[in-house]
Amino acid sequence: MDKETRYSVDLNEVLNAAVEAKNNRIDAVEFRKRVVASGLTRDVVEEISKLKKEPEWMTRLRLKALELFERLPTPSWLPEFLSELDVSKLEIYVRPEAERVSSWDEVPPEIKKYYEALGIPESERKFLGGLVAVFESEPIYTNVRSELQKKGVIMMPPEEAIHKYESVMKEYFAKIFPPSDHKFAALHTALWSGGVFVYVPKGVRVTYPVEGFFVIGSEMEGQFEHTLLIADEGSYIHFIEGCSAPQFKKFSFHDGAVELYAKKGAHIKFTTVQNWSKNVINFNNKRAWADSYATVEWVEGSLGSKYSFVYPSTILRGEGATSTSLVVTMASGNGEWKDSGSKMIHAAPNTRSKVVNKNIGFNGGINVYRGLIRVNKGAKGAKAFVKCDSLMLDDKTKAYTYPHNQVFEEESEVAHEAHTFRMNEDQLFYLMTRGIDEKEATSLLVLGFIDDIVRELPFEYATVLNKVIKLELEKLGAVA
Amino acid sequence: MRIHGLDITDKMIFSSERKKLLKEFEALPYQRVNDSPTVKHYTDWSQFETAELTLSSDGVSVTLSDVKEAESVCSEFPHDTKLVPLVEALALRKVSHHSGAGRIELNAKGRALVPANLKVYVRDSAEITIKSNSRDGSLSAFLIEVEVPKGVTAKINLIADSDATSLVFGRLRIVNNGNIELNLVSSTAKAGRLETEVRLGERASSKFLIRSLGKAGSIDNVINVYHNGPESVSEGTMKGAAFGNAQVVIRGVASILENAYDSSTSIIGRSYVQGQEAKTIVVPMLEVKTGRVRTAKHSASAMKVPEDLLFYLQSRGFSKREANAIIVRGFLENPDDSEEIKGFIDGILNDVL
Repeated sequence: MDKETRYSVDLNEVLNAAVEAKNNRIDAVEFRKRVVASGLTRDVVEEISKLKKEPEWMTRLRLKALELFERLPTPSWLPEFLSELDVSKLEIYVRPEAERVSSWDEVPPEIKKYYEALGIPESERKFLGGLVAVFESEPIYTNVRSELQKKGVIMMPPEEAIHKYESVMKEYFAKIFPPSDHKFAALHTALWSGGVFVYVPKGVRVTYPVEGFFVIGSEMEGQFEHTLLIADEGSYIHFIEGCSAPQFKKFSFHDGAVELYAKKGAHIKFTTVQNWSKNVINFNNKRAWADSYATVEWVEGSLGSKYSFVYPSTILRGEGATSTSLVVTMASGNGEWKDSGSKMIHAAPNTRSKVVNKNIGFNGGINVYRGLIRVNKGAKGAKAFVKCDSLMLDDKTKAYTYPHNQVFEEESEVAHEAHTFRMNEDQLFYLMTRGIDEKEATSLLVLGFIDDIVRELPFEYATVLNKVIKLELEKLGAVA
Repeated sequence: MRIHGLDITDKMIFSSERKKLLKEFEALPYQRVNDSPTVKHYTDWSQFETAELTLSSDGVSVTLSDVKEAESVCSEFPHDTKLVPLVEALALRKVSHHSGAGRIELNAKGRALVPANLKVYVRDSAEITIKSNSRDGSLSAFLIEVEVPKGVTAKINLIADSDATSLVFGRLRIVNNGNIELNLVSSTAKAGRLETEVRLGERASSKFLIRSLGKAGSIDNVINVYHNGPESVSEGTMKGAAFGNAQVVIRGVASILENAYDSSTSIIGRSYVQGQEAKTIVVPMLEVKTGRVRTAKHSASAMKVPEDLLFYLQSRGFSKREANAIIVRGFLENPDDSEEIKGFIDGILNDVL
């Protein structure tokens, strides 16, 4: 077994440089110098690739991505405050002192403790189809139910898939969400490690939800996990992504990517319940392709983390493709920043999309919706609907809505609706006169507000979500 | 952008203040921050870049009461685009303390650049009409600030009339502590950008109606409403109609700031697209910075004329063309419009319907 190998990058330096580059204070050359000084060099990236015994094309892809990271301009949505955080060191790649195992009993006890506290094995045994858990950066535990294996469903860490299914990986990896898209997508591709690769063969319908669980295990650490899910023609899969991290003193940085490809007539449902601890900076680059008559559903509960930037997007490439995105975000602490929003690109006729975003804010939290609906020329009969509601429970809270509706086709319909409001005092009063105390009444109303989305979650997750929201609301002072 | 009749080194014409502004014009870009990941700039700045213009010393007529020349040419607008320092450098800034009916008119013809820079303090109830007229490859560019004090009602009409060869750039800021009614109509130009900003003080109210239409070229309407004071109210409708190969953008942010508690804002955006190459972009943004908000809502839609409305009228004997014309007219016309606005909208609709 290899000894644990660590490369640390001074992420503070990288983020500072990115923010300065955004404000045109430093040029590309200076930015590159700063990145190299922080410890993020070609050699480090090459070394990671070598350790993982990757084929040459992957090493080249990583190096290309690193170059792009250095060259691309900083996205204008990157908030300045990121440079003020104490994200002192980032352990880019950590290899746990454990071999990959495929049964729960073989998992080392200290790692088991984390998972048990999070309730993973329980849910895994009960009803989840398969599970790839990522602890720190390497997937350590994989178990795909024998039924799935019989049906030919492939589920394994991408590191393994690179060797076993090289041609598929080469064809799709970083194609749906290319590193050239923005700076942090490039950083992800350069440093990706761990994650899950799923392939559902033609016509196979996976009746159990399948889960991947990601944990940030040690302080000062980054997670760059990569999820690639390909659903072949006429197949169905429901994938659940859970994220969690214990509480640490310093900030950790998470920059993951999810790529989904629903081929003709396939149906992918992708559920994320994100409950990172409150000092995680969470970037997640999510994008899907939907071929003709395919369906992609995004369901997202973004509860944890301090700063979160997640924009589930679907490119509707084939005629009649459909996509929905249901997102709940909760910003419950002072300065907590939840940046979300869905993007739907209608690139083919008769495509449909629906986006529902529900934001809950209190204790000075900030919720941001940044959405895009684009109907390309030729996407005749495209229909899109966006609904974006923000509930504010106290005075200090803020909610921003930035939707872009771009229509380049005459025969299409796009509708958008946004509403920001505070807790309805009449409803609260009604419940209280019936003997329900204020806090209970508040959480009832908040849960009612997000009911549309909770209904889409599997039962266990819905329960967790309700619990987390109730716990968070406990922190809230007197309402109204 | 090339401007003839403009020699920066000529000491006789330009004061040091203006020269500094012109240097800034040369150094600044048209736009710093991209508008969206897919369409970088909603305004077609390339048309401004390639324009060849001649500075015109006349073309602006101001009929307001108590007009004086300002001490400095600088306006209060931020220098976030090169066109702001350009207008400041080239126009004579005027200040007016106005009441009653008034009019500001820009007439740009024959590749002329007509700049205007004004500040209007409204003293008493007033109705101000701002009309910009751009023809034959010209550019009208204006910076206008209006201040409405507490208890005063002002009606402000802005008519931006451009042909498909001309450009328009305008900024209108209304600092409103009283009540205003804003009526903005604009046509598509070769390229155009109109930014309207309303700042609402305590208990101020503003109503607005924005209409933008055309069959060729593009227009980018930005309407930003900032609630600065408590219990302020804004209510408005934005309507766009893109025919032929025009691109109509209606966008803006309604922002309720920290101290503007118990304020409410409600804005409706509707846009029709009619034509194989017609495009429309609707971006209604909402920023609520206090939880003590009465209501903040925004809705937007973009579509072609609804089939069921057409069917209804067709089943009552109208031809499809007539039915379409009735619906589009009903959508864009407003019974309270002045003759001038009515004529302006009619002029465009008669051409396209």
